[in-house]
Amino acid sequence: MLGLFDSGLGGLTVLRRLRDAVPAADMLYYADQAHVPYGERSADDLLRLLHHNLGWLDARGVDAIVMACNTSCGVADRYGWPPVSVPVLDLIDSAAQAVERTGLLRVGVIATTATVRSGAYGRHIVRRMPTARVVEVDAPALVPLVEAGELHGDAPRRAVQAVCDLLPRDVEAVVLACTHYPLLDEHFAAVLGTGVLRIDPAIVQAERAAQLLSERGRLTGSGTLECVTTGDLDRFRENLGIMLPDLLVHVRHADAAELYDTISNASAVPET
Amino acid sequence: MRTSRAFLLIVLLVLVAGASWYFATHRRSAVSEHVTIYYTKPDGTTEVAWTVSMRPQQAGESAAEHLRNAALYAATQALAGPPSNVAAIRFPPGTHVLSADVNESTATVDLSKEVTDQRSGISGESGEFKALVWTLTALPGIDRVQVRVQGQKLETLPGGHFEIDEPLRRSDW
Amino acid sequence: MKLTSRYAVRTGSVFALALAVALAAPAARAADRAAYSFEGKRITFTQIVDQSAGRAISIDDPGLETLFQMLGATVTYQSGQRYVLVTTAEPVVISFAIGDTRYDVGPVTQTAPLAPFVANGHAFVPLDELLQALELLPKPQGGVTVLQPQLASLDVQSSGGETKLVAHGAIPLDARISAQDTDRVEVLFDGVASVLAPSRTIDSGPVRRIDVRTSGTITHPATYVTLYLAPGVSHSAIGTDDQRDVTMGFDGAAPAQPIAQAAPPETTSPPEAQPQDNGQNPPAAAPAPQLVHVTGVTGQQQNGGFSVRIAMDGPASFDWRRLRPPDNRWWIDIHGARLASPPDQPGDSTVTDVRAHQENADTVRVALSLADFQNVSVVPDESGITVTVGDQLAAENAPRAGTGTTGPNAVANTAANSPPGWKFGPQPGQSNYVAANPRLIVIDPGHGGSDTGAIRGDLVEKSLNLDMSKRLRDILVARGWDVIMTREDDRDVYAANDSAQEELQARDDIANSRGARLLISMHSNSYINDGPHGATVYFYKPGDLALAQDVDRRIAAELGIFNNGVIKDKLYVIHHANMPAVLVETAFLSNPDDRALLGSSEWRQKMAQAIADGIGDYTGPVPPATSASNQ
Repeated sequence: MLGLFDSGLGGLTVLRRLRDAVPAADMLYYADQAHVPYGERSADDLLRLLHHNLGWLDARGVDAIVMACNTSCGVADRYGWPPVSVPVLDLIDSAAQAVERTGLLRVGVIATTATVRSGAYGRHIVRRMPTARVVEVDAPALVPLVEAGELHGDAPRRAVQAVCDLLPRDVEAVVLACTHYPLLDEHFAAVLGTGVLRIDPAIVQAERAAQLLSERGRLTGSGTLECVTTGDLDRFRENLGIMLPDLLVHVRHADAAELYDTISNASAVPET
Repeated sequence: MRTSRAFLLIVLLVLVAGASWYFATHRRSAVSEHVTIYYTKPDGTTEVAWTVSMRPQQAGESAAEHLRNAALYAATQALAGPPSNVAAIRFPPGTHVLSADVNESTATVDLSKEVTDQRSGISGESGEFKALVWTLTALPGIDRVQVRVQGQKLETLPGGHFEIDEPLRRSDW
Repeated sequence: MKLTSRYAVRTGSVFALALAVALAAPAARAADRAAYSFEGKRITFTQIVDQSAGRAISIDDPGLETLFQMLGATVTYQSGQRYVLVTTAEPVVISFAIGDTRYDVGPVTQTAPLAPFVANGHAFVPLDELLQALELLPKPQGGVTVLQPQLASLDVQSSGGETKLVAHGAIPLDARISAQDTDRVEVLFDGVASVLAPSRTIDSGPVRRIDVRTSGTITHPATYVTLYLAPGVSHSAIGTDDQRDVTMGFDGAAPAQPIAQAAPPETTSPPEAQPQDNGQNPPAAAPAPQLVHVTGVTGQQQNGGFSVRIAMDGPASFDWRRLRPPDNRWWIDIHGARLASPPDQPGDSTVTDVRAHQENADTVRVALSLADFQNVSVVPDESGITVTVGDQLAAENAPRAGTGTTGPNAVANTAANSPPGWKFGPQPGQSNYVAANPRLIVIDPGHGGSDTGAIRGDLVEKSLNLDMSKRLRDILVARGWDVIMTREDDRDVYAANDSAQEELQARDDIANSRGARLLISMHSNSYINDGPHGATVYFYKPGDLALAQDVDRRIAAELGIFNNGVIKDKLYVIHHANMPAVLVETAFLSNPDDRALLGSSEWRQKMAQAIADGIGDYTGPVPPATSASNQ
């Protein structure tokens, strides 16, 4: 069984890719919507949440944890990964590998504020490609739009346009460095045009997960998908129906013991 | 009626032209421009170019100020050299730019005293300064480079007696 | 809000403090000093400002200066300028700009929560971002913040069939193998902590998994790295490269290829990572020739000059040539290319026209007609070439040919002006110097006396130079030349401990005052590492070139030593000699193979012989003795 978590719906884009790569694998997805969005939180908050989420999945006996939240990877890259007993697949490392495969050297990274602050993307990409140039741009407006279900129309288009305007003109590849962003891909495609390659790190992430399972002989399973949300159950179900209409997903609400509740939403650090 | 329609059309055209000019010129300075930095390969002669981002000219920064800022930035990058895993001739450790100025196409770069701590012989000294001179003269408006050390002009460097008293140009190599 | 620094507080007045805090609240509060420690040393930052977005520190803070010194980092900032630049020992340039939240760490652009600002003449930068860029992790411990150096990266790199582990940290790494087994090796990095992922699997190659575990205390951390190896793989000892990275090589097993994977792009190997193999390796396989396209040739006026941008969709090699005035044509040939852009471009007053055409099946030529013999710069980059024609005239001896390649590792070279096919004016290699004493050759044994030159092992440069100079003198004298040496024994030519200029000018004076035919300066080379090797002949004046080429040709033909060729360099002793002069760097004392050669008297004799033969090629027969030339 593979374990995933995200602050909300974004990680489902990774779940989708995983499902395509390893259809038989069982998956457990923890959606921490009680604390969405992660991107504007302090590093301290994020480390506590990461610790809790990884520990929760670890305790459920997953074979491996497939990171589906860039913000958490970014903060762990800066301050360290909590110890867990199973392999953890770092999404940023997969993204850097995806960039490396393209061979493109002028790279834009669009990510949450906390991910950009961590500098993890630039470090990983440049480590693999010393001649690359990376510009990281934060996009605090996008995750709330996705969580509100505003995927189409003018508002997300304008928000995507505003973010892409911050990229240098000569950018060749853009990493959608938050798992929420592939849900806005139609807008990125329209704004960036065909001359710029868009990279969804989830594709390589799923490939690596498949390989890990096959190496450990754990490719088998019944293909069960289980989601646990810490937020509004009905809304989550509704969004699942829109995003993964072809999949049968068991959804339940996290019980009190499973919820990490010492952080209130009010403690999220406001942007200055 | 006809004249007012023509007038409207003209106004519209002017607006469109103005808007496209605005977007064409303002989009340009979105984030960064690039500056070419050179390093010298260990063979002592071959220059390799790579580019780094640099901030575009900003409002309130005159062209002369921008060039001076760019010279300081480019000189610092040239002294740092390429990433550590690239084999290159490098300035003695700790050498840094104290100041940079540009006067009538001559850039004056004041280097810290570590530059005289040469242990790398002729090919080292020559390669170090070739990279610096090529980098600065790649900036439009600069075609020679006067080197100073701690504010003083030096005749030669101690390792290989490379001459730095007069402004250096690309044709010195 | 930027006024709330220690300066307000240091007025000593409670009122001023209260006022400052009141004015600044809630955005910033005064922080008089903050206690940090690094590598066991207490560091107090005294010029800091706390804002809600984070802590800023003055780049002139004495505590920060201490930290930079310990890390080997340097700062460049001039009051009134825009950039605050920190160069790490790595080296990485951290570039902040006043008023801009964006900052660059090497090639990566990031955003800080607060923009650098200037207060009381000091530039303040965001502290957390600066520490992060320096690979230091702040860890609070009992009222002090410990700046913990990090093992910043740990990567398995493959290039050219070799795989190695490369690690680097905030400080020079102290690494040793702490345990090993048939399938694994554990490396202890003492003194650094790590936030690297605790376990990483690698798709293919000799290293299959890397586990990272940090132990020790906050003030004395240690990181253990366990490398799990594929069956049959062995590893090398731990080494250090020039730039303080720790490396370990692997070999033995054919790397497995478990998943279909795109071929790793060229760019994954660092540019020119193997300095010794420059141009020596034949291309691995001859790929089918694939032509790149010249997609655009556009000209535009620029700062009084004119620039032409040649855009290409792939990397290509090129060479350029120009003619001498009054024929001011300039052209560049791009090889392995097809023209896919309109052929002609309008010019202006500095460049009268720009033409592009398909010169032959796989060469595109772009030709410019210049108004005069202007400065032309050729700058290749990843996606093409920018040719800039300045509004200033080029020096008479400016290079008239060059080569290069575009692409990620763009290179440009200018060639020394050389005679093939020369049509205009005197050949550049011929000097119009007329020797008053055409039978006299001056030999300058480099260094001497108080100036030892390079020393490696028991070999001392000044003695080697003198030995080879005497051998050269004996051969030349036997052939009928008059020879003077600037020194015949171990001494300073001008005075002990004189300045370099006095010493070198004294040597030139000996040759200049006697109107010698040639000056040959004998040296032995050295470099900071043992990589560079071989013989090099230096020239500077146009009149030196032909002599340099003749001497170099003989060295290449008669001696079994790598030939670095003829190099132009502004070296005092050859620059200030009136006559054709060359400086021969016979071999590198810093290279073990070369050192063995220099240590052999037989080899030194052959070197002298080769130089004498080169001189003979240049001069032809020794002129007959006349009364005027006898000393």
